Amino acid sequence: MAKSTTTPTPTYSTAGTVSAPIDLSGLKGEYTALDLQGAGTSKGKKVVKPGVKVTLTSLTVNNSGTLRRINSVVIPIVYSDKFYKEVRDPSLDDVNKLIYYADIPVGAICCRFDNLAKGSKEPPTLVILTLAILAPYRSLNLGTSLLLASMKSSLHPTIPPPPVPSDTRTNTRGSLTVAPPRVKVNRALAHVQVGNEDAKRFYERLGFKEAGIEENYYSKVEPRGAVIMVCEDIAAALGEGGDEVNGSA
Amino acid sequence: MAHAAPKHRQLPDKESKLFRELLTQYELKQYKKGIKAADTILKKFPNHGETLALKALTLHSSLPEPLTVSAVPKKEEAEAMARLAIKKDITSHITWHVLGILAKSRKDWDEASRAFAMARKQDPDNIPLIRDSIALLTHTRQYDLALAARHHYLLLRPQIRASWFALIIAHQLNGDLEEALAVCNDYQTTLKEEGATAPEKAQILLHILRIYIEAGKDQEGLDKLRQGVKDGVISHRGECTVLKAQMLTNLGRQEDALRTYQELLEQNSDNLEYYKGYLRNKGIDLSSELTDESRSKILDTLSTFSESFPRSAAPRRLALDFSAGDKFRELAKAYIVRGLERGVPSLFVDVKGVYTDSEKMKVVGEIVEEIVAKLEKDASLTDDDSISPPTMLLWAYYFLALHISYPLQTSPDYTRSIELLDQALEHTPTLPELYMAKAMVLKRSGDLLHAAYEMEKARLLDGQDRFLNGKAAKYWLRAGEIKKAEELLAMFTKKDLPATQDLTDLQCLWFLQEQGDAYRNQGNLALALKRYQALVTVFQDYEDDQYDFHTYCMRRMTFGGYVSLMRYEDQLRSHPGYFKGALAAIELYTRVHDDPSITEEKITPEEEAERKKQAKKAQKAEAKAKKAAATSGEKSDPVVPDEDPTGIQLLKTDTPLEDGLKLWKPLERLAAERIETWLAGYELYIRKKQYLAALRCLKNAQSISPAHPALQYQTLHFNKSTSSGSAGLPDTVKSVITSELPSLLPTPPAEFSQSLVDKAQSPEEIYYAAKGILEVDEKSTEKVTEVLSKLADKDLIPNIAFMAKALELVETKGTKEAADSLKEKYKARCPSAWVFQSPSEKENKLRLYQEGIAGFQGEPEEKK
Repeated sequence: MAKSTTTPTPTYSTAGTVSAPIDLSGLKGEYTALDLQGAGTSKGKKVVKPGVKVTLTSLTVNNSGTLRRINSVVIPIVYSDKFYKEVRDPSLDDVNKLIYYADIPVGAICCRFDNLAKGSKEPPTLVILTLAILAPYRSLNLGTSLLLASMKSSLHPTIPPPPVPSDTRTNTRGSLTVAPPRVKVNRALAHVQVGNEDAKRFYERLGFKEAGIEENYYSKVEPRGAVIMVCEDIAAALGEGGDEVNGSA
Repeated sequence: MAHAAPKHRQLPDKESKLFRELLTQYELKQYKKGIKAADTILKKFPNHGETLALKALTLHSSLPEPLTVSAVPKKEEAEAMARLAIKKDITSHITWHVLGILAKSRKDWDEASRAFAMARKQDPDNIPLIRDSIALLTHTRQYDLALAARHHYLLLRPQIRASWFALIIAHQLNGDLEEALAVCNDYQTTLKEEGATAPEKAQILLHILRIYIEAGKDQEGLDKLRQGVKDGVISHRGECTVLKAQMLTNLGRQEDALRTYQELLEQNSDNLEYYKGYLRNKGIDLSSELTDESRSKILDTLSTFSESFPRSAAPRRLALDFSAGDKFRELAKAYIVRGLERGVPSLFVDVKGVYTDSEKMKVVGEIVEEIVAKLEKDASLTDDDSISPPTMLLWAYYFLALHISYPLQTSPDYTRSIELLDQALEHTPTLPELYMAKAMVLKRSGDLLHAAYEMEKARLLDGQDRFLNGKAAKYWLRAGEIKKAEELLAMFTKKDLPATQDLTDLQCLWFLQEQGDAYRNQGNLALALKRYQALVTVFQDYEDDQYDFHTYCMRRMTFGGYVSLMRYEDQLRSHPGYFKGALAAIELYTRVHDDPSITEEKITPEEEAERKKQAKKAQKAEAKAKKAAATSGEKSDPVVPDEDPTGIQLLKTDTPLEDGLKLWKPLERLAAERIETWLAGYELYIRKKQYLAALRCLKNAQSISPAHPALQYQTLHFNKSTSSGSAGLPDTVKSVITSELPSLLPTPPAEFSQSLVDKAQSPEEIYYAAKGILEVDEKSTEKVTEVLSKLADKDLIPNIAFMAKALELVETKGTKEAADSLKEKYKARCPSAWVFQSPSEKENKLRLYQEGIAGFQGEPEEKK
């Protein structure tokens, strides 16, 4: 409780006051800004001028209409209401995203986690269900960045995990339940329709390898077979050191 | 109190103590205790007027807001008691004051004024009474009386700062600026020790400066301002700089004014007013026609500014207004390219301001066509290796589509516009603006239902966007789907109230207007009138709400805001929202007057059955609610229900013209510069057979726009009405009409009508010229049809609203064949207009739209 006898000379500082310039780049709001991975540097892609802001946002019940529209335009398969409800699951919040290009939603990724439970035969896996970018926005590295962002967050779960809002009751701060922390997921898997060489090359570039063919994967479109593309080590694909053990919390 | 109270007012010690307690309990809002105390006194002295009055006041204040069913009799009891109190003690200021307060809460300003005046006669020096009466006098705009009261108040309380300032404001409102400034100086010399807080001081000084400007004493004001800045009372930035710039401009000190405007622009480089002020001080009169010399001077100045404020769009945009020819082309192109690159959604709305000049409109169109072509070819506007963002082409399509369907175009090309938007939608189907634009274009082409479906698609993209939700609801209302609109709106309104109720409470003007229109178009005139009247009530509420500010602003010393509020309230009813709603209601009232049978509902047996079902359902629900309330043990006390939920009582009025006039009166004063005001006034007065008033409306309309087509028609109508119904007119009236009419109707009616027909160019002129024919000769319906068919001419901008009106006219006056053939002609001109479609076509289209929206997001189906 001893008071210091000499009061330190006050130094004038505006830090923390409203008028002080604050760095907004680190703030996490409704969206996260995304750096396009190597846009314009690789393989003769043209530079976009002036530069454009690219951001990711979470899937919500409100932008579900936009997600449906993107998928229905890009992917020939019609997904069910159940599908759209499941991808909004809070535990998938950090991997399922809409991508905005110059404030216009132009693409989306939907995934789910498999084999998260302890004792499953296969290691925990990020299964990519849909990855869609509208045609005019391809070759701008949006797809790559979007997929890499999801793979990165599946490897590094958000800590603490986001609270789970209730669908039925009004959500107050106290009523939110906290989800249990998720394990790190270091394996990713995607299905590519047989014959879709472009998509296959796309995944191969990102470190996926062909791991077999599943016949009759698609029920409504021809050909029905799907090539299973697997990335066994996300950390390596992202170029991070491989000293982390897959599955450790 | 100095003089002894009259005998009947005196109370014994015990009761007198109780009476004082009663006063404090009222002030502390302990209403239950207060009523008890009052009852104790009244038991012994049932004739004590002041106690009765206070009991009435306490009872009245304890009632819930809004009024519930059980509170209604209590309110009546309180009112009766207050009147009884006056009878018991007519010389007491308390009884009169209470009567005034109750009248005030009823918003009966006249009775409140009288009661307060009586109370002040009894006790002129009662402070709360003076305060209440000042607020009331200001509210009813009796500024001279308010000023006197303020003065009296200051004499009673000279040591309170607020009473000095209030007097200054009272002088200002009364229009005596000299006196206001004199009081201000007196005050400053009287009171040396200022107890005001810093923000209060600043507020006061800024307001005094405004008075100086208003009084034209700019030099003194400027000195005061300098002193204020020097003393640190006001900051030299913001409002202070604006006032300084204004004073310097008024004084004609151009150099200093320019410097001050420069300062202002550095503070905010997007304010158009600052640029205009700057230019004005450069010696350029912006209101008159510009010479080439001043044009280039303006553009030079603006280009300097756009260099020094590179992030500001204002100087670049202003330059578009002042440039012409090749210079305009160059500037506009740079401006549009910049906007498209950045993806500014409002670019078109921004640029369309220059479209009043048709030459500029053409140039803008050429520029955008060029951009679209180049982007489609090269994906880039430059010749280097880079590409433009893919969104640029998208926004260019959007701009072009809006441009070519703009109503000022001589032939808006809806088909091409829709094609462009479809192209854009193929490019990026996730941008709501595109669907909105498509809906707007469809609306302009007349296909309201298709427009609503497109707007619905935009809404589906983003469920949490209230703007899209409101837009979609509005389009559904226009398409006549009232129920669907209400369902959408309910997503954003309170859950326990119907959407209509909540939006009325929220004073949502557009909704009331649009729903009223929708009901009117469906023939449900009662509900339409109900909505229009709700709109009018909203404005009454605005006016009544200002009451609290008369005391509040004086206490908070926010004088600037207060005075501007008062001025706003004075011209409140010139608000376009009121204007539109009132005119629509007046039109309904005239229709009711012409044909009272329309107030009877025409319903089919199916509707009848449906309604019975609904009523039964409602009854059941009510019974259930009652039961639930009974079991839960809570006494339910519902708010007083609306007595006329369907508006039928409003519609079945015996005095439709008087009701209409009530709405018209404020317009006469506040919207006198709009010709529609006088046209509506004419329709009311001619029906009331007040020919002179009707004539005055015509004369006023003539002074605004002598060639207005509706006025010409009304002139013919007036001529016919007065010549046929002049038998019973007094001679003085007749002589006025005969002397005044020639200025309106220079040639004989038949000739006049023919001249109208000959020179009719616009849809409005054609329609009213045709109507005018009927006023001359009721039988020449063939000629009317012939004139009206001109509406479908190729070189005329099609106007669906007038076409529909024209059809209605022919249907009522002419033959069915004539109407049908006219309809065919119109349909050929506006193929997609919904009103001209046959029922089977409507059905086909409806199915098509419904399928479109079902497939919009892929049909829900199980995967795999």
